[in-house]
Amino acid sequence: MPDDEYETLFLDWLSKHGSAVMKVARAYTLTSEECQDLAQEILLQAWRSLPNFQGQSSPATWFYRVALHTAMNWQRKDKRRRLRQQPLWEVQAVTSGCESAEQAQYRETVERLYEAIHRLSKTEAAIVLLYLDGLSYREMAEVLGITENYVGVKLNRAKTALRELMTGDHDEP
Amino acid sequence: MNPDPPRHPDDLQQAWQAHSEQTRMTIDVDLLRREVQRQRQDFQSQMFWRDVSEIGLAILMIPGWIVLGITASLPWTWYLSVPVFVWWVGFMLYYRWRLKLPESQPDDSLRQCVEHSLAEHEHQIWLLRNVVWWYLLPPMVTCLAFFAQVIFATDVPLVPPGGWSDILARWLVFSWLSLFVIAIYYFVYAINQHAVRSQLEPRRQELLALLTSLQEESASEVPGEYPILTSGVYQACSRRRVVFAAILGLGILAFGLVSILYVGYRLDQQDSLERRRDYPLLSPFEAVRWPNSHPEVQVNGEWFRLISVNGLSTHEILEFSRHTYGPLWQKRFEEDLVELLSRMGHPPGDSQYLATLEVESLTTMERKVLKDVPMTAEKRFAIKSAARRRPTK
Repeated sequence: MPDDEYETLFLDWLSKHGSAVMKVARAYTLTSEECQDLAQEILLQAWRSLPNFQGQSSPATWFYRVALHTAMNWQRKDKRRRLRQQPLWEVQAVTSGCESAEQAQYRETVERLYEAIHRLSKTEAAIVLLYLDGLSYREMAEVLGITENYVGVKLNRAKTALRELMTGDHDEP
Repeated sequence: MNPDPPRHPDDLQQAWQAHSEQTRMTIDVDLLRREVQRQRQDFQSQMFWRDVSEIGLAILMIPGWIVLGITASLPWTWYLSVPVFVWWVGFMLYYRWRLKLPESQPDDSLRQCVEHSLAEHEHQIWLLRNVVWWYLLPPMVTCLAFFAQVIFATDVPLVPPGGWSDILARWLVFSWLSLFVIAIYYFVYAINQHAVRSQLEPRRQELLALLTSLQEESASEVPGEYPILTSGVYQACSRRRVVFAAILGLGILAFGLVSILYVGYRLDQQDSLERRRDYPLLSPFEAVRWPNSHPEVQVNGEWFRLISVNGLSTHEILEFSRHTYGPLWQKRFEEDLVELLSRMGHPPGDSQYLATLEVESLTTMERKVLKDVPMTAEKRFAIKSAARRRPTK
């Protein structure tokens, strides 16, 4: 495939599924600086691995695989390397003008969700992210490399843990 | 039967998805492409310099080592480091290319990704845990062999005039150097083990926990290439294992050292035999006998107690002979006096082989100097023949 076709395909997928990059980056980091760094790394990995994409999975699960793979092996870069790196991406709000009460509530819920996700184990965080994004059991199994049955078991536990963290009904470590 | 997928999004899902619809990610594709190229070049350059520093340096050291050995006329144990360098290069090449793990793909599943990272970490841990055997022990053996040869095989006494004080001095110097070498290698070993403890092992534990969380609960064990490492238990070395490894390491060190020095001793003996042909086989004595391990010599038909030869005391000559020829010291004194005196730095004159002997009469106890005593092959042959007839002890 020529380079410009890769670029078109990549941009198309990114517009549809790019939010996975931001979500994974935010779920697996604690500061906005680290989040930027990890998202940048995920984008680089995704661009690099696009030519190897076999079409055996959907673009949505492919993005999640790349993102989670990168997040698991990501190591915080030193300050010098971070400064040298130019920002590759930016997040823009789709709606303009004032935020509605509903949107504000969603934003608040999402903030609390991220706080809870940070306290989950890495595997549970991955399952919760996939669940919140509405992936099917089959897709989750494909991303995680486990059976659909086991996805059900893990998801139930992760949801319970998430609910406890969201409601504050959990044992402090 | 598969459980049903979640059909009705709950409040959390709804908030999550609605929020993500409010944002859009835009990227600079040109910059992304350039960044990928830059990273690839950085990675290739990093790999290149790693290879250069590890393998290239070892390869470059081989000719450097040989040249240094020749120019400084260093003993043969110096060159034992060359096979060590070859071994390092061979081991690293073998390990890097033959045991190379299949490359992980960025779009592998999470479990595959964790398994791959775990395997990489285990390889690295294995390498560092065994750094003594493949990296440190071989040069340590050759290094100590070199010191041992330089210290023990030299003809020049460290503490004149030799004897027990010289032997003690040699052992002291050798022990001090050995301790120094062992301390340096232990320092390198400790750095490697610190890296395992502080970086690799915690990360391995993290990966194991992650992999376990992705395992079906019926699976009790985490598969891995190294069964010991993948047990899931923190792998600090047990005391028994450390003691066993230390004994084994010291055993190999001692065996290697003794073997090298024994081979060296035999080669030196062979070399001595070769070199002996270069010295004239002459003797100033008509006969030699050894009451109380001190030589009595016959000159002009009379027996004397030997005090000195060409100004060198009998004690000095015998000590040198003991040190140089070991069990053959008496034989060398009797049959190869020219060689003995030459190697002590006092060769008899080249044109005519005459000896000045200081002797003590056995009957009158009078000391006298016998000048220009001719050294002849016939006298030496007579001594050698008498030695053959002498009953062995």
